[in-house]
Amino acid sequence: MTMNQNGELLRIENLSKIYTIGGRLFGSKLAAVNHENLGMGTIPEILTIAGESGCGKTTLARMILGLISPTFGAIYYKDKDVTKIARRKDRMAFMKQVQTISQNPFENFNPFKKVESYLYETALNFNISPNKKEASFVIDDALKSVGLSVSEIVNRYPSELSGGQLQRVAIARSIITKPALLVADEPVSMVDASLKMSIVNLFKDLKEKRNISVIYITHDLATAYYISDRIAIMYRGSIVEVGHVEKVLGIPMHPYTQLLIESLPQADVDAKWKSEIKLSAMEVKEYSKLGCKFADRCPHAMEICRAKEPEKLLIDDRTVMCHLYKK
Amino acid sequence: MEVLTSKDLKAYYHTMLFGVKRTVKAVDGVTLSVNENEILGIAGESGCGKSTLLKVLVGLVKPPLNVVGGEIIYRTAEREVNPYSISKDALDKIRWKFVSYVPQGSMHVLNPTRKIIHTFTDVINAHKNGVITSNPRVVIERHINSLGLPLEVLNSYPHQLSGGMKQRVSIALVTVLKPNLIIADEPTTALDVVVQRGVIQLLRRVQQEFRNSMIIVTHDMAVHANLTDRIAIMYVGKIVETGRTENIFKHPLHPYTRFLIASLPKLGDKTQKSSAPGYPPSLANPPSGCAFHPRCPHVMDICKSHNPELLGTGGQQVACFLYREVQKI
Repeated sequence: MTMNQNGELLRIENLSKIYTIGGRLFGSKLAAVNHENLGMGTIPEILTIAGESGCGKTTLARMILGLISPTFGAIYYKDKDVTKIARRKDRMAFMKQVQTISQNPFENFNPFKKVESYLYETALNFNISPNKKEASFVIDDALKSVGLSVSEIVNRYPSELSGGQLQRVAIARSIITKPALLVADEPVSMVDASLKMSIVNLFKDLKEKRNISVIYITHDLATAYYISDRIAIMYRGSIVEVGHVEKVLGIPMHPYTQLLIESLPQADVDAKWKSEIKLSAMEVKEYSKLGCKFADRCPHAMEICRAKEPEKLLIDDRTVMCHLYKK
Repeated sequence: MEVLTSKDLKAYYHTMLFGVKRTVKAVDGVTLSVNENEILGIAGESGCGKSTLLKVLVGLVKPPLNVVGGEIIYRTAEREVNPYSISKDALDKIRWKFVSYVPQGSMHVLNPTRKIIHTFTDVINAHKNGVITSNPRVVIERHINSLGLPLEVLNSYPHQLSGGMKQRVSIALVTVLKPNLIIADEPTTALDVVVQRGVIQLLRRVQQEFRNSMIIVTHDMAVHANLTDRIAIMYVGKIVETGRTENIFKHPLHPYTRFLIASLPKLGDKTQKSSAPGYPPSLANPPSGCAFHPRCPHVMDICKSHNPELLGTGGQQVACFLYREVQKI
């Protein structure tokens, strides 16, 4: 994964973000992302980052977007370290390439601004088109590819559109700059059940028709399985298992992945749960623990798990961070 | 035996802004009943009126929301009560003991400056009526134990607990007086899968322990599949289909339900799924006739002008003109 070869879209090397809780003197440290490595190739793919809230998936996404700076480590986008971008011009060029879609479409749009103004601003600020007239062609094209027409949103305020429509406008806005990578943080968690799949299908379309890679952050494993090519499971700041989605979710190896899949409610009345599971009582403490952070909840925990952090092992086309598979 | 019944319930939001009167028919003719020892699920998309329906059912109606028609009956052990025809004091007496309500985002209801145990004793003292006399702590500890929660939470402040634990504590709080009916609004939304499973596990445990009835509102069909006995599907202020959970999942009748069930993603299934066409209409300006007709692939002329009734026999009822012929026979 850390191969230093040309033609990689994104490479994360030894990336960490450490937050200090409490005072500088007596406060404790919390590694939201802990020495993580991850890579994405130039062939368009959808990579899911899944895990429970507070596992560091949003922190990782925000670091990739350059919204927060890592404590240490590097993020290479097309072999350029984006954590060291200083000039505004370079930052704009990076933002043109890497766009974001956030969770709640209602919080994203200013209620006093017409939604189309966001589309025009993006087109003009990034010099996609020289004037408003030409921008309208670009916008029309972007809206069409998300299944909307200009007449549906022209002169409308955010309150006049539904959540599903707004999320489509947000996706249309992000593809105006013709990005190579989209970072979507829980894009469907606020969208109605009956419209969820149409938004999820959009990401598939963008990958296939526009060659856009997507980092899809979610805790919904069912939609993750449906759209993604690869999946990374995070737990307490570490990616515990990463690989092809059929492999990782089909035959999970890490005990945490197994627990996640077991906990996923299936929309199938014949697949109701029979057993009960164990939950962690005090979650924050788990970050500062030595060894494997899942050890207290793990049914296969051994002595070594509490003493030593497991290495990342390459088994069966995937990377697993667990002592169980160490030979 | 039904614990709660509602007949043709109508609750509208009336607003007046600059002399413009607006009426939002959030609950428009809902007939519904919950049996003893049964979990009823209400599903529907956001803005279809499901939270308003719950508020009306527990009697938390405040202007601009008004109940304009229909009735609700609570069947307590002694008598039948209509919550809108009794005094506020009498209603306060049956709350928590007969019916209790877990509102949306209920993990934020806990007082941040008081330990959890004090919140519990407050509830018990306010509603004791001679039921719990001596030492409330013993009762609370027994209750927390029976639900499988750690006893340390009682001496914690809310900020020391995680979101999932706060949610479970608030469910423990509403069940401490062993109500006959628990009404929960989106109890698992905003939680992760593992914690969500813990909360569902707890709700099921409560139900098995106390043999009471529950109404659970959520838009997550997977939660319905795992938890409920019966489902009511709501669309734009009306119930469009109700039936046993197995029937709804295996043989959905209403076109909207069919779209909803067919679009559910499953692990191990990569076949193309699609959503219902179009967008949900606004409650303030619903389409004429059947509210689903602009999105429905089987639309007929009658759908545009008339509103179908909820009809059917036995396990499953549906409000759709497609089944009118079948229902007549």
